[in-house]
Amino acid sequence: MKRREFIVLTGVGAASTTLLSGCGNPENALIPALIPDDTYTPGIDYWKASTCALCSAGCGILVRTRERAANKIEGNPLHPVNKGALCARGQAGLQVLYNPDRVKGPMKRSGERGSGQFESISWDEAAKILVDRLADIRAKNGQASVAFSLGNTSNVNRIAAEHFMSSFGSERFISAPVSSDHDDLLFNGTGQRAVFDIANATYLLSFGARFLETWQSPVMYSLAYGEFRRGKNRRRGKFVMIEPRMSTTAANADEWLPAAIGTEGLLALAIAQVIIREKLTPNPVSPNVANGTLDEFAPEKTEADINLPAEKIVRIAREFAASERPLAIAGGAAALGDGESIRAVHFLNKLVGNLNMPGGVFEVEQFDPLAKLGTGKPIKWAPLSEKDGYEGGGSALLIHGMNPVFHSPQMTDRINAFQFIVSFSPFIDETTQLADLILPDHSYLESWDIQAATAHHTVWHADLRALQPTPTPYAAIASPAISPEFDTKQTADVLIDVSRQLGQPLPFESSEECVRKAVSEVRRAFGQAAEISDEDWKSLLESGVMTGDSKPSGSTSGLESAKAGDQPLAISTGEPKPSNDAYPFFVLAYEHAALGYGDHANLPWLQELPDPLTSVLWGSWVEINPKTAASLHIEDGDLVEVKTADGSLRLPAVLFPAIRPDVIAMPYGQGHTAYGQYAKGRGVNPATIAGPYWDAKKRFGVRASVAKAAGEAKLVRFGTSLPEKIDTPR
Amino acid sequence: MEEKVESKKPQWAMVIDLDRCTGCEACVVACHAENNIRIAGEGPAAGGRSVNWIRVERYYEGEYPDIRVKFMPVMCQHCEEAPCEPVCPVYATYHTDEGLNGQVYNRCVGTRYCANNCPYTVRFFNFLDPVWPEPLSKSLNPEVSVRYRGVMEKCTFCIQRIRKGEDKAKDEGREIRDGDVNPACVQSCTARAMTFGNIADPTSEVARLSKSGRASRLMEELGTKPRVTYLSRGD
Repeated sequence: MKRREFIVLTGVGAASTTLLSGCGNPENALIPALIPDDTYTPGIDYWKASTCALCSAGCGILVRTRERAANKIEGNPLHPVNKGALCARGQAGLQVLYNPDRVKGPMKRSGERGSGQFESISWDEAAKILVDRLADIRAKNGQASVAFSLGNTSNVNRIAAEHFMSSFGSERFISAPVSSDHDDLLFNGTGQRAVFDIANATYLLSFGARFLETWQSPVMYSLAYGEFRRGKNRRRGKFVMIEPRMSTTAANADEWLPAAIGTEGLLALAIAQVIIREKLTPNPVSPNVANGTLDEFAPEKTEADINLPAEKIVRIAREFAASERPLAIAGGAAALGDGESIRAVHFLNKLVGNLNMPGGVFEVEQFDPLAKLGTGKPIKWAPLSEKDGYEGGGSALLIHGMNPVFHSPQMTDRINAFQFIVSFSPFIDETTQLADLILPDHSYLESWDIQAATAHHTVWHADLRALQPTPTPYAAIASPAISPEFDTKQTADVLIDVSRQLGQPLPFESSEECVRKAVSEVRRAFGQAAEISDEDWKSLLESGVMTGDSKPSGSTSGLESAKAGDQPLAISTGEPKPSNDAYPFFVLAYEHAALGYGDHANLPWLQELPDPLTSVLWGSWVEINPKTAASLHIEDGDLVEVKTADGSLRLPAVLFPAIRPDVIAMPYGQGHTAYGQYAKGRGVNPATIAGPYWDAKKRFGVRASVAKAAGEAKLVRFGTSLPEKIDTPR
Repeated sequence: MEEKVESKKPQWAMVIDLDRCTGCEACVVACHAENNIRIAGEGPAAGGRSVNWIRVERYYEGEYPDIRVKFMPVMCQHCEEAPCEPVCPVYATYHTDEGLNGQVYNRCVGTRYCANNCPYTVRFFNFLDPVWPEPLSKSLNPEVSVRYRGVMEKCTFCIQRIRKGEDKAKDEGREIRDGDVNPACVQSCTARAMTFGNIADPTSEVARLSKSGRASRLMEELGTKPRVTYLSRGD
């Protein structure tokens, strides 16, 4: 029996969903396990390839399963990004899959909106509600009345959502905001990507880029960092980090420079000025500075603003230019002011001539065979912060992979204005609490997906006796590592069902078919036959990775172009920094290395993982320089109140020796009012006083006051409290 | 203490390059996942009851703004002259012929003498039964016992992985090779700071690295002869 016949016979969206508890297609019940029952041996480990979904880096993973349960996640050694290594977050993925607070099946709202009261329904009923309500809203308010808010999700879900919206006639896509898209700044949004060859650099200058924890691709760059330090046959590289508060990345640096917050661009230009005036480079191109000339940025003139001694800046500039393969990278607070600082930092790379050179910056062409599976229409993503995207009224909002009510509590009213809210979240987070209908997605370990990109490594070429860049296009396939634990359904399959019922079927019948089609596109791009044999398909699902031929790096045009420094840099000296008596400090809200911006606060392993620098677990804290604290009569562990113009928070103080005296810092991550037993009611949410994480322009410049507050603080640290005293067990 | 017997058995050892270690703690979560380490929860963790077979210690040096930080992963050092072993009244803590500091949960009666005598504070006593709200227990590794209240536990160098590697080599009729066995922490390490292997094999990576000029052992002045070697950071 063919799949189509089976679906027709059993009734659209009926038996195919209920019988198989959440699998879109009957075959999927067997394929995810890959091993038919007759060859399945108890007590033997079966490893399944997938892609990590706990950040956007897309590391390849292997999931160890036994007795049809997953019990360990490891890096996939074949994957070119992480080569077998895996970070703390990735390891904790098992607790996404087996989290006790997962939504166990589709639900509809049974109480007042926001009351958190839901009742379980069947997938049939859920689909019917969705179809009826969408048809109704479309009839009354037109096609554009449906908005799809799509954040971190699989490519398969994204492609299905594109088709769904296109067939529905709506273009209201709302994207997950990315704080300062670094590569778009460098390349003017042309889609190229910059890869930094940290492994082969000899001098690394990082302007706030936490590449060992959260920046871009932490495992890839950590592997490179290991080589940078102690690779075979190379000298140990020197690493200098510029950051107002020492992060774990900065803690690894040979030198930490706490420049004033938001002066990364100034410092980059000051270094450039020294390199040019002392003729330290054979290629002394001067940057185009919008307001004035480069000489105005001389360290002697800007040292007060930057708040570092001019001699130190001159020394760093000399070391940087004299090093064999210097490299500068930028992230974090450098994104202040429309990311001009990132461009200024990147100008240093241009100045020392490391573009597309080993140990430098590489421009990597996008390898995007999946584009052919989309609608062909470019999507205009409305950023979350834009008002239009979230005009409610007579509209429906479908939301997946985003939690705006938590990340930007100020938006709650705007979201509440939608008549009909559908959440695909596998957890009842703050946004899902407002939903009228919950259609829980599978966890990533139960889902189909495919990712394609170009990996970039520089390897020693024995014949040429030189380091040779080798960009390698690859695709990584994720098949379900485990059968669905609950009555959930991959969102792509829900959209496929619903579209069919709305009379506008999508071009594929299941998420698996979407991946198969994508694999054909990849094979075509690799010059192979598009059709794949069953044998090859099976081995592909086992290895998880297909790679194309490496080819030498192409053009340098994007990096050389205007965006890389010729276009006027809107950085000026002596910007007035109003002293502010009411709010004397800058508050730096940063991404928690393990909990991210709060999306992983529901994973107990990560909650109980001590913060590398403060040892804090299970809660929030604010870091204060000990001298500042002394002047405010604040002691370690005291409860303090942090106030900004937007509001105030109470949390415990940690006296932190490695932070500027005029800066206080706190991690995002905690302060959930929903999201399950491990996250809810724990710590505070900095978004309420420092703004949402994606608003870099705002959040790195927020002023605050801090004062001791009355009351007992709850601060748990690892290894510091050993007395025989114990709170009530949970 | 027992006599040292000449043995052809592999002698397991680890080398940690502190110049590569970034303090990311991937090893810590990998260890939790592999070894069924219980979640203590906030209250017990506040009372010092959280369990970390491997932890990343950090040390601050200097004053603002000239501050340096050093990270150091610490787990059971599998001492050749382990102070924890002779004090166990029931022989629950013993030395294997592969140089591992073993812990037999079923023998342990919970005197905690071993933890008192360990200079590295890497032994953890189970004051409470572990709790795994369903379906979290499905993620338990079937090859590792879940420890209940009243017994001591600590790093085993992932003994289950060692056995598996040895069995596989035996099945294939060969000696164990470098790289056959990697504990979960070493496997996950994002900067490849950790190396594991047979130090009795002079060609192994651990044997080579442990002779490095940067090599030292933690509190070796105590005469514990740890099997973990640290390579110092350079400048």
